Amino acid sequence: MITSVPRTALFLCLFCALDVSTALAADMQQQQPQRYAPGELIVRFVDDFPASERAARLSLLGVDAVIRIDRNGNGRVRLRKGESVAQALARFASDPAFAHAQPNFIYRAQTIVPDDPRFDQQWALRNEGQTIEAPSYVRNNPPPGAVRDIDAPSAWGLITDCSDVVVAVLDTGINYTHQDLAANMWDGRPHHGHDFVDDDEDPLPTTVNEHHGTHLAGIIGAVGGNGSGITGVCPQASLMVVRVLDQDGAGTTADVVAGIEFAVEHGASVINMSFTQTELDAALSDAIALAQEHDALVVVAAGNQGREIRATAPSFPCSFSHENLICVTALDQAYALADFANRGAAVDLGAPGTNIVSTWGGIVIDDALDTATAWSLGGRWGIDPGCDIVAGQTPVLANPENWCGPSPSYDPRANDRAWRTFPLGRTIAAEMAFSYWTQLAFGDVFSVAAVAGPGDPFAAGETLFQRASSQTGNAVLQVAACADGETCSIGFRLQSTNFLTSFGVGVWNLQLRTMTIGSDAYANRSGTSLAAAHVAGVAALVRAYSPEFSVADTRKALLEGGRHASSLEFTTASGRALDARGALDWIDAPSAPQVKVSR
Amino acid sequence: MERAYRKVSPSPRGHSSAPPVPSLSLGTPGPTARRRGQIACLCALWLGGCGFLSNDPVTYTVGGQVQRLADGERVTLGNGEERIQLSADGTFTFEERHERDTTYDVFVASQPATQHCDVRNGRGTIGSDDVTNVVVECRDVLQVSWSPSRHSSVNRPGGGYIVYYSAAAGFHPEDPGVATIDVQHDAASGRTPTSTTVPGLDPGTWYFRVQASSELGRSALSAETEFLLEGTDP
Repeated sequence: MITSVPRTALFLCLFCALDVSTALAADMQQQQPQRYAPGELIVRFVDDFPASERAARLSLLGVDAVIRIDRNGNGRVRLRKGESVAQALARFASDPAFAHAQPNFIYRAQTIVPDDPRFDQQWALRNEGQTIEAPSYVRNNPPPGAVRDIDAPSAWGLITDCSDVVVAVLDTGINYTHQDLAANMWDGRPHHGHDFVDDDEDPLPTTVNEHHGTHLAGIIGAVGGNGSGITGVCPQASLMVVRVLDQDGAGTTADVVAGIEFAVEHGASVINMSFTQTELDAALSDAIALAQEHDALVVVAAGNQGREIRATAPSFPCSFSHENLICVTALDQAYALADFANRGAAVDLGAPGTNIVSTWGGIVIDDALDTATAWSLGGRWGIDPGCDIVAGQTPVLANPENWCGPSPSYDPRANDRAWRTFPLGRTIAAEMAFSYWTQLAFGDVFSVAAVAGPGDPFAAGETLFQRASSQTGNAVLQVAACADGETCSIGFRLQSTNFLTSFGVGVWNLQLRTMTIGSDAYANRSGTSLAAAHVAGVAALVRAYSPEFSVADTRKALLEGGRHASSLEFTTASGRALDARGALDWIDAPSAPQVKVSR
Repeated sequence: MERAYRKVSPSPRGHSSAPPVPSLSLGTPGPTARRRGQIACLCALWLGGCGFLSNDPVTYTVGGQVQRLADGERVTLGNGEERIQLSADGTFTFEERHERDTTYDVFVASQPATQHCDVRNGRGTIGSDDVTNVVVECRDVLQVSWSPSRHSSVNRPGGGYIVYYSAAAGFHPEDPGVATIDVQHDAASGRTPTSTTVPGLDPGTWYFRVQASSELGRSALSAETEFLLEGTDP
């Protein structure tokens, strides 16, 4: 109540503070959010104004009735058509029948900016024109001119918890042990989903290269506000892992159909399917229809071929016309269509899809061979920091240590070993890769070995690789020893069997890749898959905010709540880009009213 | 304060209302005004002089007609503290009498269950004759209903619906002549109503649209519904 404030002062203050007419005009011109409801006032009669005369007084002022809003006598009135709030305030202010009149102010929930340290790299959620580090897509990084994003912080002012909405990610395996995912995994199964590729209950990735699903999962629902890594579009989520793609990102109709069935039968109401192929697939169509029967929205990627999707050149599932399917293409940081992004009338919506930083299944250690002290170098092994023999000034682990110099020669009867212990953490899988060049005398052997824990891998470890001739090449080796324990050691050995000798061995581009339990890794990737994941995340926000929404409501909210983007005008059906707040604000219209005489 | 109620069985439509005539009436023709001064003078023949009695002023009645009240419905009219209840079309007259230059104010004290009655010519100042031109016109109340919005913000405090109606087909809310009814979330029940009543429409064809609203904004308009409100000849 404002009863202690003198009436005149109150009206004066309202005008001073608001400068209403100017503010209103400015609002209109600048398209800023409205500060008060147009065409409405909040008013209160003076206490002793007769009730029987109030209707007539309102009529005199051009309003029909007061809708009472509280016990203090404040009520809301709707103004004449075309009359501004400022004009109406002036009329009510001069009328002694009213103790109080004010605009019907609009309060807005505050935006939320999470404390996740990599949030400033998540331009899709809040674009400030920032440059994205280690880009996977060069164009428009940073974006020139005005910037746009999906307005996630504003959406989070309404809701951050989507955990009541199960989002199924039909993809490769997902490293559900990732530190930024583990708390947001669906708990309906011991391992948070199912593996239809290997037909078991654990949908973890099986190799070090299987990161696609983990990356999508982080976009949709990485834990937000935990002071770590990134935040998902849904900061609190329920992510179901449905592994239908193998380590190479390929899957079959049978596995995808089974995955959809699993998802909907276990309560998923949003399904992300970021994969494509070009042949009509009736079984997949039936499965998407099944999802519709279960009121589940299926979000799919348009594809990364940079082409137009046409009837004669379709892309499935994007080209399906199911009412519960929404197909998404990718925008870059300037909201231009990404050059790899497919387009066409089958594509419904655009969303950010370039330079997307998200969760990654494990770490990649690039041993630049610039820290000789990390290595235990026996015999003639050494590190040459700038060897011109290979790709110019590349550090090389070599035996003999002067391998890059003129006329190198390793020692006869050598048994020289070099090894290093790597802190990998617990891994699901580990892999090493390196380039090598050997020039060995007859009978001499270059070999690679690994052992769990620290120490000489040739003492108790497993030999992974041997060469007994002069060769050059690249090697990729699965390292099981590094998948068991917190550390593992990798070593190289040059064995000379007699007095003969030769130039020796050089190793460079040494890399250790892992799929890590409790990974805290992140990576930057681009693709329409990632655009679809942003839409799936917003779909979960929408369904969590309005649980009564049907799949049709959710789809309309995403499309009609989207914002126009000129780059999408002739490249998508809607011409719109994803807008999280717009989707949450979208209100379904009531049905056509029924009218009857009230008796 | 207690209010006086009486039930009136109105005379058939088109006939003038004639309240009971007091036994002391001289049966003067015309309006029901009674000239108490004349009565006083008659009394004076017995009591020895008119000056012995007060000179009571002339008084007049207030009444009129009820139109289109549906069968089985009842409307209660008020004038000052007096209430009369009517159950059919026809004329009515309040019992209370008014002196010249006093004011009267006829209002609907209680509406019928399924109709809405409005008073015309209900206010005025007593002149030199009975007031008989008060018109109480009753019209059917329409009930408009719709399916609820599924958006959470509509179904909580701050949410609601706006019902638009017009006599023009294909109307837009900003068009002239479009009326609105606000239907707000009911905090007591925790629900946002999905129906409302529209009182006092003239017979004819009316068009309705509904829009959901909340602090987040407004929905699109519903499709338009047409309704023919049939009239009753007065």
